[in-house]
Amino acid sequence: MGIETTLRVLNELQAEGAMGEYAIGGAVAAFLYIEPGTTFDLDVFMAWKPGPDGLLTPAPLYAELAKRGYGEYEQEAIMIEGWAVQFLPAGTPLIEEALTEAVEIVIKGVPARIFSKEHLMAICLQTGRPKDFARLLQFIEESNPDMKRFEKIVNRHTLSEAWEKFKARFPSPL
Amino acid sequence: MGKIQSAVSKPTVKTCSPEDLFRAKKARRARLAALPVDEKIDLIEKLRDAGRDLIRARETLGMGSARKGRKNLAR
Repeated sequence: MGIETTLRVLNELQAEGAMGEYAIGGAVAAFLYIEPGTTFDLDVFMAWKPGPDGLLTPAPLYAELAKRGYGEYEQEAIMIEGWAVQFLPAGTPLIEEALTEAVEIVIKGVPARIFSKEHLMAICLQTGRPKDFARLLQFIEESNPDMKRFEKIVNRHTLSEAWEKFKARFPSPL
Repeated sequence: MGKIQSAVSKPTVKTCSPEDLFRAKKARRARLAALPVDEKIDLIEKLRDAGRDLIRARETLGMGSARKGRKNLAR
């Protein structure tokens, strides 16, 4: 089973209204721009719908998945056709924007949306773990990003100070 | 001095400078970064499966928890 089968399930769920528009983020999205590495999860970002009590919840989506026979979990992720899928909310303005401005691609014949490389870079900067900084350096060196667009995103989401610190710490690739 | 050196058999190991190594690594990364999407997906799935096998092997050998192995791999 490949990722295309997983994406077909997600697209069906979206077409049937069980989930809103989604986009792939995290390591899988990053590896489509830079040198691929090891990851175990497929991070799927989406706007969660409010439940009857007004709370944002993925419960209706999980109920729909259970109806289709998907009930095996691997830590926080649910197994869908061989991929451990983690459904994540667009919990920050940066993620919301990344979701809105996601790029359409075709993976093994199946349409999907992934975060733009500039948004993934800004998310790395915001998250700020050592592996995120390493990934940000890879984006700069390997993916030919639109640095003007990236810096606009950085400024819009109050990451300018973090970006200045990053440039001072890692001056070589810039 | 020269005579002593010529009498000793020299290993035929190729070496390269750190700069050459850096350039070679950079070229490899650029090549992998530029792969078509579907080829990248194949590679990502192979790496994922290999990672899972490694975690299982660690568990079988009692080399720490799967979670720790998984975290290390994710780096």
